[in-house]
Amino acid sequence: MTTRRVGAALVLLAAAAAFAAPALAPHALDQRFVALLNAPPTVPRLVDDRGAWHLPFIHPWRLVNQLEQTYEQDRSTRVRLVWFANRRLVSSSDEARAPLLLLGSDSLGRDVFSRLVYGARTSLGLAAVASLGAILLGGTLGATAGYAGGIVDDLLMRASDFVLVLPAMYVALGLRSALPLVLDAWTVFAFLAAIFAVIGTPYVARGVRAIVRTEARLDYASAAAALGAGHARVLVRHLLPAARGFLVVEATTLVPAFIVAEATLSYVGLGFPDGVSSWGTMLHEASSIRAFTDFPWLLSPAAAMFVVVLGLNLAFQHRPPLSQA
Amino acid sequence: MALVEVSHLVKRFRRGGGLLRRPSTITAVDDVSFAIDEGETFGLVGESGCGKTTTGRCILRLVEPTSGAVRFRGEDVLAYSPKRMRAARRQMQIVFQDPYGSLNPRMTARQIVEEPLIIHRMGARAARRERVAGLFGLVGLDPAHLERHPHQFSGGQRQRIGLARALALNPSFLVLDEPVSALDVSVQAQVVNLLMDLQRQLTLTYLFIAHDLRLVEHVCSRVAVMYLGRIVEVGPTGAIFAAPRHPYTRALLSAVPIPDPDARRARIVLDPAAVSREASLKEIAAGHWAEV
Repeated sequence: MTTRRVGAALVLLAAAAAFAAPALAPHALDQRFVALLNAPPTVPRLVDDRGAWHLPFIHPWRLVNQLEQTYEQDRSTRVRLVWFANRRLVSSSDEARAPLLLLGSDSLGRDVFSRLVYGARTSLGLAAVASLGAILLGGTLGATAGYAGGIVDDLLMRASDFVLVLPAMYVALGLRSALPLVLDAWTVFAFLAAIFAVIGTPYVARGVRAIVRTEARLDYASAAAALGAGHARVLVRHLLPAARGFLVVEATTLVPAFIVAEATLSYVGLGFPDGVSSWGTMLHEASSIRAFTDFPWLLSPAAAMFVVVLGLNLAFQHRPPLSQA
Repeated sequence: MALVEVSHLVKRFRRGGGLLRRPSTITAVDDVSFAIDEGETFGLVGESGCGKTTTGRCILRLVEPTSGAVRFRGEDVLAYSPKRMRAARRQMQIVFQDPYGSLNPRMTARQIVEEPLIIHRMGARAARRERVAGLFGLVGLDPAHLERHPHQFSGGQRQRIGLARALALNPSFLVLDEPVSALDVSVQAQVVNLLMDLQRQLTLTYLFIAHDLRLVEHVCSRVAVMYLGRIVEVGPTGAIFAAPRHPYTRALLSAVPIPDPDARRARIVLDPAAVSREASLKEIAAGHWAEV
């Protein structure tokens, strides 16, 4: 029970961060600090070196080696944090000299934390939309196949088997590479969502079909028909509600899969274009050995993905058998 | 005039069959004819798989018959358009055998009993609620339990909910498909008595499908005995129980348990060779027909 709460809390936290991105991010997506390329995180502090307490402050970074991109903290300078300025939750009082970089900056000098929370919108939004699409499409097709039976069932299920046996990532790669390399962000979003939905559909359809098929044989479905209910009513009012629990569980497995899929596609350069922030594009830009050795903060999108996927798994694990009600 | 008239009803099911294998057909109902008079309880008995349930479902077109005719008040039900059929369903309803599978577990008792009223757009919300509570009382349930789900009721209570649902549209004809065979014996009597009371109260006509012959003897005015998809004997209950003519009927009646441990009665074992598939129904006494 507690782990489920923890999981739900993690997911809600990520969703809230995505929702509140403009207020939460100290900087705009594309704001660059050219003097601070690959700078480490500026950690907010309360106590200075002499042990005196202050309101939250940060130390600015001072460039040590331009070539190696190493920095050291200027511990003699304290830069106060300001709250609720410029409609942002928190930012530095001296943005030009000492910007607040909670998760450091990337190779172009952009704030990783700001990009992370904006990226959550893209990545989580895409996963949610694609899952919803897969649930709707798979639910409709599965219910139709299970209820109609016969040749309709055969056709739909063989088509779904076909999609199922194709390695999903290759399908996504193939379809994406058939389109122009450079597309605007919204087109990419819609396109990726459509591909993911199609890939997820067979999993949903198979389960829904099995449930609808089993339930349709029960007398309560006959009873509804005997009362004069049409096919649509029998299906929507009686049979599909039986699949509700399955659909919830299915959605929670699809969302993490789609988050990872977006990251994978973006990582190989077939995801979102530059300028759009998503967890996948951020990881793509961080794909150098130095990210692991010297700039680990660039891998924070991977950590964020881990947290969200873990949260979803925790929140929906050990579901007790669905009660009759 | 008969309320329900079934003539030469045939239902074949296709089974199996694939890319290379031809499907086989099973004849579940094989040229069945009978007529049910208004207000009577017509029994349909036979062993499992003999086609009694399929016959009942064909009459309501829950299963589409392969051939034959079903007439309700003289009109051919099988020729009805879907719209006309939907309207006709207000007149004929069914109560199922399984009190567990016949109620949607995700709906409350109120939603279950109210659904027919919604489907046929009968009354506003308040009127419907009143009617549902009335039906609940009619079948002997406590209207305070309307918001419960089926699993919170006992088998007998569930069967009463199914009955309330069937009665919601004020039908004149009910197919009772083994309505009490899934219930405890003590509960069976209560539900059977309720069915008989309601029949008098609401002038209902019943097609009573059963395999419990003592029950049939108690409830039905006329009985048809089905064997392998055919009616082998039909007549007034008294006549059939007193003087069964068909070998299958005799075997069936000899299998009725006698609640007396000292009683000994020779059980007749049916010799399938003794049953002629060519024979046709002949009237052997007034209203008593048998395949001999």
